[in-house]
This record gives sequence, structure tokens and C-alpha cells, in this order.
Amino acid sequence: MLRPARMCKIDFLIPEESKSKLMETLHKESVAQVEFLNDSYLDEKKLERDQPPERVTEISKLLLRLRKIIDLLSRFEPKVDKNLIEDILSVDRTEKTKSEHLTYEQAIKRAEKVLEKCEDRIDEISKRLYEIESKRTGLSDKIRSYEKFEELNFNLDHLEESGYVHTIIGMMPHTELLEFQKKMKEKFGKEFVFVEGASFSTKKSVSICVMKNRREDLDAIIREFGFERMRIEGTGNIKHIVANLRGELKDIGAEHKDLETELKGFYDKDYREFLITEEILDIEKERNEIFISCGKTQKTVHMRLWAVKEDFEKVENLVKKETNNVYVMDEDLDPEDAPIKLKNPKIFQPFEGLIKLFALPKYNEIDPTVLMAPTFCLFFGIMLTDAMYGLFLIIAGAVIWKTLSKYTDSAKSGGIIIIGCGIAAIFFGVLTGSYFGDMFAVDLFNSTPQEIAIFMDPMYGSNAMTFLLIFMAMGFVHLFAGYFFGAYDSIRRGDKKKALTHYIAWYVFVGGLGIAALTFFPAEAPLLPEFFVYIGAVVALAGFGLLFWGTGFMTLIDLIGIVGSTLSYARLLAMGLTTAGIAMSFNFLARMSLAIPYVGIILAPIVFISGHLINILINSLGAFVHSLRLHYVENFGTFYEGGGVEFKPFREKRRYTYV
Amino acid sequence: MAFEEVLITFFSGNVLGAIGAAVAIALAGLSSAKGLEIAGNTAAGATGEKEENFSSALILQAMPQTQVIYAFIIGILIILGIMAGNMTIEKGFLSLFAGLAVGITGVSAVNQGKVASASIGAAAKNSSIKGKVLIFVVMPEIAALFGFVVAIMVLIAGSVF
Amino acid sequence: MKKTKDSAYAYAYGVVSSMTGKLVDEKTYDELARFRSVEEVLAFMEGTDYEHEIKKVVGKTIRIKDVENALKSHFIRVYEEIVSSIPDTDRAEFNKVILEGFRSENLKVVIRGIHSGLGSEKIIETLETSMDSKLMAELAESKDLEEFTEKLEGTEYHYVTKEELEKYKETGDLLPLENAIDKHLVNSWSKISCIEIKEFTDIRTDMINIMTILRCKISDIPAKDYVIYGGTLKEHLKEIEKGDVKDVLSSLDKTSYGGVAREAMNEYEKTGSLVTLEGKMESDVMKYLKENAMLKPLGISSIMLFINAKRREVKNLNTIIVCKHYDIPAEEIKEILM
Repeated sequence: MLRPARMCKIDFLIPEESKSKLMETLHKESVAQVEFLNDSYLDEKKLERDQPPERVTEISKLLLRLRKIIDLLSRFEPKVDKNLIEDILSVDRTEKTKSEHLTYEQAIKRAEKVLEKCEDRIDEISKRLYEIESKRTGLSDKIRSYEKFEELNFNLDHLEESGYVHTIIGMMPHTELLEFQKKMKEKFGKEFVFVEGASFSTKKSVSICVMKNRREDLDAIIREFGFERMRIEGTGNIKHIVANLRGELKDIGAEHKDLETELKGFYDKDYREFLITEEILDIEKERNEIFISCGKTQKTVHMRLWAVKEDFEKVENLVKKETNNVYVMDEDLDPEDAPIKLKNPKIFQPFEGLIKLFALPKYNEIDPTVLMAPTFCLFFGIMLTDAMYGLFLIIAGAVIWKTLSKYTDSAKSGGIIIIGCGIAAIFFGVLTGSYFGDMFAVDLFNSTPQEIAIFMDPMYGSNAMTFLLIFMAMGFVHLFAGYFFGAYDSIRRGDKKKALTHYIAWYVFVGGLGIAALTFFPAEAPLLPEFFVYIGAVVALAGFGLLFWGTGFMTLIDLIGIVGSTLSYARLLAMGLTTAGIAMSFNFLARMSLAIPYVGIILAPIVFISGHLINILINSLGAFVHSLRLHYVENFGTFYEGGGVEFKPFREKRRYTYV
Repeated sequence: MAFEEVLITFFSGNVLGAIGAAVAIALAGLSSAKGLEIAGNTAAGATGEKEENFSSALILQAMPQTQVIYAFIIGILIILGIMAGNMTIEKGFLSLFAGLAVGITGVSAVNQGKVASASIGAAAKNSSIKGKVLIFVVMPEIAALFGFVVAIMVLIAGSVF
Repeated sequence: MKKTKDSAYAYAYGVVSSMTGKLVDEKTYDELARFRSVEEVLAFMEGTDYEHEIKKVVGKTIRIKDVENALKSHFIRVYEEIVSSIPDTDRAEFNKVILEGFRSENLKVVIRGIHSGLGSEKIIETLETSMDSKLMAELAESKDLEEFTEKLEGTEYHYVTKEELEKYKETGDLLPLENAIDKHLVNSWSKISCIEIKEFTDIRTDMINIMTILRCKISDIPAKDYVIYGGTLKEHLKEIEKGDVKDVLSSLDKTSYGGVAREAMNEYEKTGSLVTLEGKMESDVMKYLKENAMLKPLGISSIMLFINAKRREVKNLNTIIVCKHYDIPAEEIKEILM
């Protein structure tokens, strides 16, 4: 409970022939972690690094092809919008299909069959779709520029040079049309034809026709104006050309739709099969690539496994079976350092995640989960302080637990943590008379929170000061509890000196100061006679000496640290007050809106509900983060360092299947 | 109202105390906001690239809030003093300077925000140190802590509340 | 001159740090080197950020050229993502400095390639990832440096002129050509207004000058014409460029570059190759960036360091893939990796 699970380290030397079967079994049983043997170790033992068997190439080839198809079809996947809670808890609603363990040959066959069925066609379709897309863009652009001239309704064959005349078409800004026509009249008199077509934002389509021999004159005038010349491909009437293009676009669009439908057909029929096959291949690949972590000689393979101590026999039996009892084993049942698997009673397991967030303990270090769980909920409750909010949290936690736990493991943990925090919040709400802030007190009981509080209301009179002292005292105790556990941990590790100079010394030091102080407090009738001051001073000095012996001049910094850390707990009061303060303001607003005639009856509950909802959310987040901070920074600073590496057993990753 | 009356009211215990509370929360509040902004930007960048960074980034980002919490408490204590009704001019001035003490040291939240930002980045690069970098982020708070202590002691010494 | 504001770079810093965390590490390079085939490596890369680009080039058949291009376009995508996270005020300058730097490097690679007669395909292979691949490909096809200079003059990057070409023809030394490119690069930095970027370009200018001077002394060419006034060494340059190698080194001892220069010269004497000299100077710029990034993480240096690291990663992955294609054993691959 207070230590990570005990592990065992087992080195195996097995014949080359058994390695694949063994790894397969280990993979299925997910009972051991395969350690990556580093280069220096291999050199030392005169081993070479093992290589994945050749079959990995085949697996990889198939995987690449499979993934390409999956990627092409993934566009048909329905968009799943997870809400925030589901996101944080990593909810995964995919249905799992029952499957069985496949051998390598079976896996390959399955993949090849699946690919054979559709790969070529899907590849063709995607290529064609790509071509269609680019053609479509090209056509749309053309149509867009050409359709501006449809109204002019002329024949392209008549453009440019023809018989006696020279015709051009283009776009000209509205503002220049009159000016242009004037200039043309000047230069050409009546020998030109100017037709205006449709308007498009600032420009108009125009067509201009002059005598063939006056072409250069026209070009000269054109250059002075903002004339955008158009070149259109094709022959015949422009209307026909545009109509043809439009027809082509429609056909291509229809083809695109057909192909997409065909693709969707593949998706509906086989997508799941693709995903399952990919998963199977991935499992095979992992199973074969793991050999990179092992060492080898000509005929044997050397691997190092980690397992929970209780599983030692199981692992040995597995190896016995898969190698036909041909193996060499070297076990260390009491290693100095090992990967970390936390082991705590069920009710505390949800809080392991909070430890992981900071740092896992080292193998021989104390596991603070059970220490953190109650105080985390306690501080959260203090910072939220409201009985009704606490009730809301309990309900929310239970709902999350019940509805989401089949989709993700974190739902149960999250639910339990929230319920724990909710209980603490109810406790402190009742103590301080906070039920939706001052709502119960004022509106239901016609009283004040101070009256209905079991203890006292921090917002009343100078109670805040009392609470401040209480919370700082709480913090002080929390810190010194840390020293206690630090001492316990050191003694258990056999480092008695450290226990004395780093932890117990603090008790001595503060104890001495306490004794001395009690000769002054309480001011009227000190609890201890005067000469105890000297005893207290001596004890304190002894304590200081021990500290100095242990940590040298750092002791002074640590002293300041203690003062700082204790004061940091003042935030408990601050956060609690903010919750109460905001609740009070929203109650006030709700009361005011109730007074409004007619709409008040509807407006008041809206203000009330939304206000308190906002309050719960914001202050829960704050309480969560600051409670964590008090543990990580102030509390853990006294006795916990962490730095362990997580135990990750070699196991199959299944999302779409189960066996 | 005659100018003299305004002056007398302005320099009364209650008003001076209120100014102290206001200054404290204003300076610390703005600084915390700035610190949270800097750290928040980095947290957003780090989480956008890799979602696993979210939880450690969140905790690190929340660190610069301490300064405004300290100022808030000093503010409340001053207000308690005002509500108690015996705020002399001397107590008013003491409250004003207590407020300044915690407010100006509260500007350390901006610096803390920068350290928090750098720490979020470091944790994003190497997730095994995400617990250790908390220690770095706590350091700039020491200044605000001393400001808080001085402010409280001033208020106690003057029996403000 | 404007100072970079911490808060402005906070977002970019977050993005770059996360990306740094995702870079391939030593152990993974080890594993990749030991994979049996290109397909395995690609299957691995599909689980990383490279997925986006790799997906497009896999299929029943895999062409190595396509994979190499996919890697290059991945780098470009990541680069553009980073640049877009930099605050608007500095973005254009930053982008310009980096891109100009890439361009100069590539031009030098092309010049050296043409000079040694490598052939356009080989030259294109050795080019750094950049945005001007079409231009470089065209330049690489020049049969000689004369054609190269002509082609270059037709573009907006007419850094090298007939004058430098003549000098090259006289001496057979590439220095005049490369120096012309360097001169242009340094001049493009003269208008920079962001202090941090300016500090970086100053260091670069110093490195370029030191490199040029040492090179001149080694080949016994007068250094005067090739020194570019600027950087932090500015006035000292006149003194530094006098004398022979020994004199240069002792003048540099009075600056902060003394140690680096001596080390670089030692390396050079071992291998006799100018490339090692360049490599040493380059690594010193990286050292400067690293120190600066530690002092001021919310700034340009961390970003530049990452871009460099990403370039190296792309190069390494490219090496691994190509080596796997030609069945080169793991030990040899590990030697080539950077």
C-alpha cells in the first residue's frame, strides 16, 4: 500500500527456434515487460543485438497498403463530437468484435484476401476521383469567365480576323464606358460597332468591331483603358460553347457522384474488416519487432523480463512450456530498482492517476497515494465549501461512473474522485452554513449563514481571521505529516541518519520553539512556568544542530521554505471565500430579478441556475488545481521526490476486437 | 461639498483602507492575469501539438494565480477592519501600505508566468521532468510571499482587524 | 530596433517545445537502422507526424524518389506551421532570414557540385530542403559555372556576376563565387529591425568572415576584398585579416572566437578538408543558439534550434530509407547518421 508493487527481474536464455512462440505467448498473456537491452550491456555480455525476423517486411508491406485504403475510406466516417468530459476521460465508443488469436500465416492470408478483394478497384477510383477534381476546377474556372460573354451571343469564328472586320471581346470597367465610346467616335466616326453585354460587379462585357485595316488604331485606344481582353477556345456560338462546357461539368459531376457512391459501398461493406485486419497486422508486427530489444548469439536469444513478483512462477511456466524445457534462467527476486506498478486498496486506486500526473515513486520510495487521497478531497472540499455544490458533484460523479465506465477506465476513477470531493464539500458546507451560498439561510430559513452554520460562517465578522489561523495550522500539520512519512520511509530504507537529520530534527526544532512559546501564550495565564524557556531553547538548538548536520547551510533556506509553505495554505481560505462571495452575488441578483413584475418568475430561476452552475464549474476547477498544487509543491516537497518509470507489460493493443 | 470636506473624507481611515485593498487587488490581479497569459499561450501551443501535455500544462499554468490570492486575503482583512468600525487614520495608512506591499510584490506573477511558460516547454520536450519543474516555477513566488508576510504583520501590528 | 516580447513568443515556444519532444531519439534511430526493409521504416513513420506525407506515397509499389520528396514536403509543412506561430511583427523578417540562408547554402552546393562535375541528379540529391527546388534543379543542370552564372543572372538572385566568374577562372578557387553569395546574404540582413534576429545574424556574419579569412590564408589569397564589413567584429576585421594563419589566430584570441578558430584549424589540419572547417564553425553557431535559448527560452533561438534539429532529422530519415533500399548494414548506417 505504501510501496509500489514488488517486482522480479528474470533473464532468460532460450534457443533461437523457440523465440517466436514464446514472444507470442507473452504478448497474449500480457504479464511481463520486455526490457530494451542497451548497447553497453550487450557489449559487456558479448552479445549481438537481435533483429526482427524477415517476416516483418511482408507485414509492413501489407500494412502500408492496408493503411492507404483505410485512409481513403476514412472520409466516410461519421464525425463524432465528444463533449468536454468525454474528451478528458478519453471515452471510446467503438464496438468490439469477437475474434480469435491468429497465427502469423493466418494473419497474412487474411490481409491478402481483404486487399485482393478491393485494393485495385479502390486505387483506380481514387486516382480517377483526383483527376476529376482537377478537371472540375479547370472547367469551373473556364465557365466562370466565359459565361460573362454569353449575352453577347456571337460566333467565335467571327472573332479577330474575318472577311472585312476585326472583332474583339473583353471586360471594361463601367466607369470608362462612356469615355471609351467618345474616344471611339472621335477616332472612328461611325465605323465601329460597340455592343454591351452583361454587367459583373464593376465591369461589363463588351464586344467591339472595326474595319480590318483599322486594327492598330483600335489596339492603341484599347491600351489606354482598363480593357481586359478575353481569349476563348473553341468554335461556334459562344452560347453553345458555354452550354457544352456546362454539360461536360455536369457529366463529370455525375461520374464523381457515382464513384463516391461506389467507394461508400466499399466503406459500408468492408471498412470494419479493414480496421480489424490492420489491428491484427499491427499486433503481429509488434510481436516480431520486439526482438530488437533482445540480445543474441548464434543459436540463442537473451531477453530480460520484468514481472510482478506474484507472477514469477507463471512466467517461468510459460517459458518452460514454449521452449520445451530448454532454457537458462537467472532471476532476481529482490531487485534494487524496477519499473513501477502502484498497488493500493481499491478505494484509493482512482487517486493513483494524480500521483502519475506528478511523478511515479522510485522503486524503494514511499507511494503517497493513500496519503494524498483524503487530504486532496479535504482541501478540495474546503475550497469549494458548499453543501449543495457537494451534492451536485456527488450526483455528477455517480452519473459519469455509471454511464461512461464501460467505454473507458478513467470514468470509474474520475467518478470516485469527484464523489470524494463532493462529500468533503458537503461536510464543509454544513459546517459553514453554505447551501447555494446564503440562499438556504436567507430565503428558506429567514436567517443568516452564521446562524445555521454548525461551526461558523467565514464571511461573518472576524471569523475569517479564525479560519485563516485554522487553515494555516492545518497546513503546518500537513507539512509535518510529510516529515513523519519521510522519516518512516528513510528508516525503512535503512538510512537512519537521514531520518534523524532531515525529518525528526524538524520535530525537535519546532518542539523546542513550541515549548519556549508556551511560556508566553496565552498571555494571561501561560501554560508553562518561565524556566521552561531555557529547556525549549536548548531543545530548539539541538534540533537546529541536527538539521545543520544533515543539510548544512541549506537549513536556512529550508526554514524560509517552511514559513512560505505554511502561508501558502492561506489559499484555502481565499478560494472558499470566493465561492461563497460569488454565490452570494448571484443570489442577490436572483432576488432582485424576482421582484420584476411578470417576467421575474421566469428570469429569477434562470439567473439562479446559470449563476450557480458557472460558480461550481469555475471554482471546482480552481479547487482541483490548487489542491493539487498544495500537494505537489508544499507537501511532496518535504518527503517525496519520485522519478520511477512505469511498468508497461508487453501486451496486445486491441481496440476493434477482443478475444 | 467644500474641498476641505473632500480632503478630510479622502484621508479618513476607511477610505485609505479601501484604497489599500483596491491597490493590492488591482496590481496583483493584473500581474496574475499577465502571468497566466504568457503561460497560457505556451500551454495552448504545447497542447495543440500534442494532447498529452494538457494536464501538466494546466497545473503549471495555474501557478501565477497565487499572487492575486494573497492580495485577496489582505484585501478581505482590511475590509474586516473597516467593517469593525474603528479605522483611524493611522490604521488607514497602515492598510494602504500593507496593500501596496502585497500588490507591488504581486507583480512577481508576471515573472512567474515566464518561468511557468519555460517549464511547460521543458515538460513538453521531456515529460519525465514535469514534476520537477514545479520547483522552478515556485521560486518567483517567494517575493510575493514575503510581501504577503510583511502586509499581514503590518496589519497585525496596527491591530487593523 | 525592437525587442522581442516574451509574451509574444510564448505560443511559438509551446508549439516548438512540443515538436521537439516528438523528434526521433537515439534509441529509435538504432531501431530504425536495424529494420529489415524500407517498408518497415515507412510503417513506423506512419505512426508519427510524417504520416500525412507518407500516406500519399505508399501503395503496391514504393518509389524511393517519392518518399524523399514526401520527407521534403513534410519539412516544409512543419516549417510553415512554425513560422505562422511567430508573432506577426517578426514573422516576415524571420522567414526571410531563414529562407535566404537556405538559398545561399543550396547555391553553394550547386556551385561545388558543378565544379566537381557531379552531374545534376547527384547535386539535387545533396540539396537542402528548401522552397526553391525548381530553380535549383534548373541551375544544377548547367554544364559549367559559366552557364550557371548566366542562368543565375536571369533570375532575381543575381548574386554572382561575371567579375567573380573571371576571378574563378583565373585561380580555379571557388572562393570568389561563394563569397559573392555570402556578401549578398549579409547585405540582406542590414535592414533587420528585431534585436534578437540581429544578434543572430551578427554572429553568423562573424562566422562567415572568420571562415573566409582562414580560407584565404590557407590558399594564400589576399583576404582584403573578401571580408564583409559587419557583425560584431566590425572594426577588428582590418586587423584580423592581416598576416598569415598564425597571426589571424592570435588576433582572434582577443575576441570571443579565439578558441573556436583554433579548434577548427586543428580539425582542418587533420583532414585537410575545408568542409570540416565549415562544420566546426557551424556547430559553434549552434552552441551560441543553445546558450541563448537557455537564457531566454521565449525567443527566437529555441525556434531556430528546432528548425535545425528538424532538418537533421529529415536528413537522417532520408539516409536510413535510402540505405535500407540498397541493403546497407546497420553499423554503416549508424556511422553516416548525424
